[in-house]
Amino acid sequence: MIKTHQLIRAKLENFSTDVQALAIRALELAESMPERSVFEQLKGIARQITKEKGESIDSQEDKA
Amino acid sequence: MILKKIKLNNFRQFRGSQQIDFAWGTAGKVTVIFGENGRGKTGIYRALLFGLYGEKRLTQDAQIDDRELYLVNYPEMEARAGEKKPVEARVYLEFTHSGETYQIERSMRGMLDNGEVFQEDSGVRLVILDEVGNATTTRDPNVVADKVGRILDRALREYFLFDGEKIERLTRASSEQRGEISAGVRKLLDIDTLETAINATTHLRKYFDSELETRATGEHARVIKQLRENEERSSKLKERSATIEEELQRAAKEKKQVDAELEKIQEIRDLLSKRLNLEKTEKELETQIAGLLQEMKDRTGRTALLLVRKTTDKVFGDIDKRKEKHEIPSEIRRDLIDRLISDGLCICGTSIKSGSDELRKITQWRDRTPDIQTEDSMLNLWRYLSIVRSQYEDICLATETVLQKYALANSELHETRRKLENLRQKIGSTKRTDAANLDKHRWEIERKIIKLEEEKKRVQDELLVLRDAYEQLQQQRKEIEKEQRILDEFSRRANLAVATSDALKRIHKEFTGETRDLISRSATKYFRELLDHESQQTLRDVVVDSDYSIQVHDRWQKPFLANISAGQRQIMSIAFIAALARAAAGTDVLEMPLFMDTPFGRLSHEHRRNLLEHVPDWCTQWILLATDTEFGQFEEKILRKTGKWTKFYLLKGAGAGSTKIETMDVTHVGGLLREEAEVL
Repeated sequence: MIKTHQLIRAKLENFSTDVQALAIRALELAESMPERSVFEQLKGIARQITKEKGESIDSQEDKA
Repeated sequence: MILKKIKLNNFRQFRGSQQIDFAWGTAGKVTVIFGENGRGKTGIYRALLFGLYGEKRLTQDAQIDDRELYLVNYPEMEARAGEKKPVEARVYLEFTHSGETYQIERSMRGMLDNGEVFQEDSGVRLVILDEVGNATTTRDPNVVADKVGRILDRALREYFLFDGEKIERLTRASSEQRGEISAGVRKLLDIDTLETAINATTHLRKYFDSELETRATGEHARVIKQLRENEERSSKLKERSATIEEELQRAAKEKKQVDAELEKIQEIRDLLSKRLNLEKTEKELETQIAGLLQEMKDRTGRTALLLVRKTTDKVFGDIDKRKEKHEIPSEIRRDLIDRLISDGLCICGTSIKSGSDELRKITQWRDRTPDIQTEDSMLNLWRYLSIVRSQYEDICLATETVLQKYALANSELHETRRKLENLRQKIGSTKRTDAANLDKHRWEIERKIIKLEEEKKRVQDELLVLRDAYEQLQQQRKEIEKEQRILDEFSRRANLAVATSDALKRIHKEFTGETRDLISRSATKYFRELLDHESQQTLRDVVVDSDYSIQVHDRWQKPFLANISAGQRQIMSIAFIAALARAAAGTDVLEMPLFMDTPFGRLSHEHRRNLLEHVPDWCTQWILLATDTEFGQFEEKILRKTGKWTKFYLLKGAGAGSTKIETMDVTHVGGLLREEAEVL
């Protein structure tokens, strides 16, 4: 299982830091929460990321 | 998970306190727990499941009533029945996982009162010691279940803790079994977590898109609306696709059931087919017989002559004789002789006097001479009889032939009707209807499957079109936002959610594909190592399908699972488990114990040898519960050669209903075991 998460995290490195941050939080939350709760938590996390950074659309695109 | 020890106290047939220390770490890998049937091997398997999950029943207990299943040692309850005190049965299990040591103790109380046994749970305690020795303790059964489930989920336990029967089930091709395996593999690989994350980010994307849609204007709003509609349509189609898939599975299951029913009455189907042929034969024979009877009727006149053949021959003979004597036709006609007698004068001029010798002679001559009509009739009769007699042989032959044909056809008809009667008795009217109805039902299911497959294809095609359109719309959206410099927070949130959801989906696709390939490759490698020489001629690759169901291909790369033996299935399952564990752990070594209860029953000796030689290399711990019939000197020698077998426990009878666990040195167990010659 640890290996699975490592592989997924390694694959996420090909994406923007914001995408990585949100995806990793989604995975961490999904380990112990049901889908609906993960979604509710992610709303706040995504708002926080975009508010803090306020970066351009280009930076959120797939680096790969 | 590595099992270190199990302590049993008044659990099942293990009276008093008894213990098994499993081989682990540098002290070896393999533990053999040996005992005759009925000595308690399955009791140890039961204790393990009770300790870990609190499970009291095994699959094999399906027919046993809870009240009859005693987990508390019965002789001990019996001994304390007079004191009216309960007996406590305890299982203590110690294992390590990821550097931590887990100590679980689970117990039950039981009491025998007036011949009736009362049992109840009396608690569980889990102590977790971290790497530096800090301990955390819990007695909450839910917390214990959660902690243990995170190490070895209950749904996955059958992959690592199993008996021969269970392991073979892994390779069965039923949709139910596929679903079970798929769920197990997803849990083991933690794909469920990834999928939960994907679904949550998809919700997030939809939520932020709808938020953005209320604020957007013009072209931007139109594209966002189209994206939403696209997703809604895709969502509906995916739901329909899932429903079709379920319907297809149900139809396939139903078809299989019908086939099984038909299989059951296959004999009747064969009989029905035979009956149909016999009925056809019966009709043909009836027609043939009717034709022959008509032919006989047509021949009645001529055939009847045969009835008067003797008379005919006699009459013909008489006439013929007279002809030969020249009596007929007579030289002088009778009316001329009458006139000579009446005139009293012969033709020669001699007088014929009354009473003279001449008159007497002439009168005799006249009496011998028939009259003219009689003579003509006799001659006609002679000619007719002559013709008739010449046809006798032909009539005889023709009549005999018809009669023979009739007799043969009649005999065949009789035999056919006898067979038909037998068949009718065998078939019975109800089953005949069942067979016909089942055939019809099967045909309807096939039609349904064809229609569903067609719809599935249409849905998939439309989904592909929608996906392309979705990507184009997303691209348009980005361009519009860039051109119009729509970079507000709502837009950024929505874009982040889209990008995250898409990223996780892409990773999921890559990861599952790579994992399936890895499991297939590893399972094939292990399978080939375990297969006996004969099986290797036929079987080649283990293939894991998209739903994680397992298939084996033959040397022509054709699916062959349906044709392999129970032993080969068992071997394939073990190879699959080893491959699965490797994929989950990311190493060549299985990070779970393989706990096998009597696994050799269905295996050939070569399979046994391969298993004993290779499994210790693949796993970190192998606990083998073996009977005296499956573990002999042959197996002992092979296992000893691996150098990884260090623990041996003997289960010995210790009075009625009790078993004693005795530890023995592995180098001294040979005398206990069945001789090598017997197996070789």
